[in-house]
Amino acid sequence: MNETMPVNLDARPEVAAFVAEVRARLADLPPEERQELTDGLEADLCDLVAEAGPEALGDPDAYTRELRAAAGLDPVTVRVAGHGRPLGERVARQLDASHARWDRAVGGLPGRPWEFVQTLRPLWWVARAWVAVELLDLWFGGAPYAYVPRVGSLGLVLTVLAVVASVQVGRGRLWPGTRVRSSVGARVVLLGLNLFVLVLGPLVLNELDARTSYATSYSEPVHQTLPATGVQRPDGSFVENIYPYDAEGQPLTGVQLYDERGEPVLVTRDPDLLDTSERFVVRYPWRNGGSSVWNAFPMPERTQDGPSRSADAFDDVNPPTLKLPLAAVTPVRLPGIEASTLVQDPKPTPKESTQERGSGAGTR
Amino acid sequence: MDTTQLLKGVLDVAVLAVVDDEDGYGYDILRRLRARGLDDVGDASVYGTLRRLYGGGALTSYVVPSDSGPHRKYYGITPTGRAQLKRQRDDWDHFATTVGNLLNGAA
Repeated sequence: MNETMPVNLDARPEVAAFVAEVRARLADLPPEERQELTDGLEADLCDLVAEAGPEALGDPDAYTRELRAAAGLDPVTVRVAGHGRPLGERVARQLDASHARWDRAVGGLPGRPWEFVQTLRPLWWVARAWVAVELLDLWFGGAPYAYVPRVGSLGLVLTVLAVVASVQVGRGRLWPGTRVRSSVGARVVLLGLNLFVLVLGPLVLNELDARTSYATSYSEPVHQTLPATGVQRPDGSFVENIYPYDAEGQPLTGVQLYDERGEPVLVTRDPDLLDTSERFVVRYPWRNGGSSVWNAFPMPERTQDGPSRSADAFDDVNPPTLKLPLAAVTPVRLPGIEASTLVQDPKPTPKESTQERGSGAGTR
Repeated sequence: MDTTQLLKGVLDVAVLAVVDDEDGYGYDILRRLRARGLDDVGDASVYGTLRRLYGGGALTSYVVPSDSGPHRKYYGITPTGRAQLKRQRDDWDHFATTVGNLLNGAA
């Protein structure tokens, strides 16, 4: 008759929580009497749960009343006021209760899907490590971004380290995994970290998706992947900047170009990705008040980390500058046509001249 | 009729009788009580009764360690318990006969 049922007691946190509840309601008793009452209770309740399910535990208040009455004690249970107990204990009870509720909710499902999910736990350990390193990469690493985190050249090493750490935490070999059963703090930390990854995981994926497609579009030859915009060379490549020179062969700055229809002459606005250094050459347009004027040349340019134009680029230590391909070119003449010249003003600011005839594709 | 009220009066003797058959731990004793027809008995009532009988010297207890978790607490009957069982069994028989006669006579 005394057969002991094989019960995995570790798998019954709800029993431990319930016994803790009962103990709390016996707090008025001397320790040895309380011990006497609850000794063996855990084993008995585990059997009960194994046989009748966690619902059989019922309400700890009613249970303790019954226990006290049967044991011949004063039936008035100790008032278990939520705010009267230490915060840690309250948090632990809340967590235990939620855990038990969850177990009950998924325990009855057909096919035991939760058991299936639980066997995938190691997958989660790897996934959260990956998310952590990828986050680091997105925050501190430079372009290009990839599904294998780069973080400079440390990406692979960091990923391996993070996976090892995460798995050790999952196996209970590394803090906070080691203290989950004994310390509420460790439990909360672990829960917080997991939730953090759970929330950020999709965001990281989203961001990566955006950034990798971005990087690919720039690392490939731009002229082939984007719709044709701007002035093209006979070989099909796009003109990226225009450097006008006056009739004397001297470089001009801030020249606005229009075609024969009065439409602005535009060049491609896409930055160049430098293959070797993973940096971009970005050209900054001239401005008219708040708006960009894309047909004013030459456009100053600078080499920078990202492909986007920053508003305070000209205040930067590395501002965009003019990079003349040729210091000067040969002078030109035409009978009957007078070339523009710089008006020698008494004021020191030189006035630029416009050269509408210089527009068109044949700048290089 | 609320049998739980009746149960309270006889739980001591019922528990003593079950433990007198064979030692057992809390849940085991509860099952044996239920198997014998006391379906309504609550587990907390049984555990409380066991602790009280133990406190009164009617039961002895010993702990059996378990590999899989918390140890089980077994209860056995003491000579005091046996004497109490005999006394209460007699009381019950007398009481049951009296009430039985009374009820049947009234019917």
